[in-house]
Amino acid sequence: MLAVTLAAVPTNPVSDAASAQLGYLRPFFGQSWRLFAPNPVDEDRNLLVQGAYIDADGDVRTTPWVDWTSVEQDVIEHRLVGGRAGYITTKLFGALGETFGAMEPAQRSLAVRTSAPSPPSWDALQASLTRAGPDDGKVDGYLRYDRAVARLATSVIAARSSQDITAVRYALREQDVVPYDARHGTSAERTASRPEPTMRISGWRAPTPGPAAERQGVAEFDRRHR
Amino acid sequence: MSHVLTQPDTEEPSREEEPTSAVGRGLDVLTHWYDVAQTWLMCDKHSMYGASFARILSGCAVLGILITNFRQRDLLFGPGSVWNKERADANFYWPPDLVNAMGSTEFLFFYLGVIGLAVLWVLGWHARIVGPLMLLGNVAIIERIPILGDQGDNILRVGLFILMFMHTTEYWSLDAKRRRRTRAAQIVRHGGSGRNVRAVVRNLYNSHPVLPRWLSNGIHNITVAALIFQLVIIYISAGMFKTQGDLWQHGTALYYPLQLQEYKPFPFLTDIFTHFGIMVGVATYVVVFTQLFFPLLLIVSVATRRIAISIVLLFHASIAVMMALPWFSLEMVAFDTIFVSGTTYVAFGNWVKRRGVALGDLWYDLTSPLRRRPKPSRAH
Repeated sequence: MLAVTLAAVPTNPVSDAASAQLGYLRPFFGQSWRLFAPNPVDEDRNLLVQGAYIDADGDVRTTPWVDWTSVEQDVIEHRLVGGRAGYITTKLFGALGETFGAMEPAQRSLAVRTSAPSPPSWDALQASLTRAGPDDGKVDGYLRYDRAVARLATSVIAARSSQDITAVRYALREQDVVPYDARHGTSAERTASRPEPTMRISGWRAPTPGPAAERQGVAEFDRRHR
Repeated sequence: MSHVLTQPDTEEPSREEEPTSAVGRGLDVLTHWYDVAQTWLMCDKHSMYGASFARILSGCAVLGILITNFRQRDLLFGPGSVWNKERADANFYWPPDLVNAMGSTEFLFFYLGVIGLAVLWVLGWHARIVGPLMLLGNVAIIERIPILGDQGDNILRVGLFILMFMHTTEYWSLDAKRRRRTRAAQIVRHGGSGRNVRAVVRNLYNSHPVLPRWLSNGIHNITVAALIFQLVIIYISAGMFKTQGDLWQHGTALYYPLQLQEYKPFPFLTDIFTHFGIMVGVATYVVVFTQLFFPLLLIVSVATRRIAISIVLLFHASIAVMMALPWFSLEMVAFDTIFVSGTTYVAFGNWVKRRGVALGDLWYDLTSPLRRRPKPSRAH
């Protein structure tokens, strides 16, 4: 009981001292009761994906951005029960930003500056990132999420575009909600009161198709909810 | 066990005859509380109505999650999940290994199997066997990609685990029916071990008690205490986290999550609530203070306990409707049932029964040309 208490409450000197002994609680008794605290998220977070292809003239072109988070949220809007599929990218958004931010500046700029017509293979990307900074597991952590999103992007773009895709990338878009004091406005006023969204765009990644079940699943979901 | 049976009151006269030292009086107090604790722990099972109701609601939460995500099961938890490979590499649980290698069809049967187990758990059919299997199946599916879950999954997992050690089938269960229908096989001291083993197995199968009463009471009551403690910790720590935040102190914190696109299924409903600043402020503070003082409100008096439980129910109902998170709410509420006393359950049951009679009558009135009313006259 004492262990659960120390693991659950906000960190304090007592729980810091005991943290080494509390490992056994995870995973089964792992819990976090932050629930919109200390400060609730106050921005909409969307994951967008895009593909690149070579057109007939040999120029590099990009497909339109697909706001995948909006597609997912179709299973929440106007529903009494929010389907879990509606929260996938929202839940991963934080981890995508954190694992990217955890790397050294040199690694971050390497991860972003990749070529659309010939993106690096995953092995090459991992090798160049580990060369540019300390290899302390942070690169692996980043690539785990990055690769998963590349897989998702590959399936989504394949479902939307008939082009021969050479690379995919994603963007993390954040936009603050309507300010508290502006909540009484008309719908147009409220939209206008929101600050401009910010976008962090990833580097180009090699198309990474998942298993057939996954590609079909994403395509079917897209058809139903786009 | 003699301590348990000795009423402290009966010792009073002898204690007054000879004056005792401070140490002696201290020891008396200690013995008294030891007796009280032992009596509470071993003489009777507590919160059996709450435990039975928790069984039903927790089963409904499992059912709700699995059924409403049925169509996206492959995409979320199954072979079609974009995250399965990545997360499988970093998985923390062994149960998901059960489903990791499954294809769509196997996973479909597994999924349906867990739904079936959850139905049986709600009905209280062989709960001692069905319960652990359902918990295992549920964890295997839901926790395969933990990042997609919410805190409701945590309390469901921990709460169900604790429920497995409780006697959850005293009321509203098929196990209770079977117990009434069958008779417990007797264990005879010199009856031969084969016969006794058969008797134990039969009692297990028929949901009759197998362990000595003091032991089964003790296990049940300790786990009741553990569940209560777990819930109290949730509320206190959630409250403590909130007091660290400026927006919670300003009384506007509730506004922000409600503005997020994923928590705004019915924008007009959200707009009505957030239109009135006073409502947002009061609700924000009520949430913080109820969470912080939850244990205190539980023990001060029956009235404060009812207030605390009502507030908790109200805000979970609001989360369910305004944020489209009914299963999260149900997962939280399912275990709060342990705080409600047996008397309340009986009163509530009677109220439902009375309403049930009226509804039944209405049904027979409406369909009277089609069927005959089985009971021609009512009690009053």
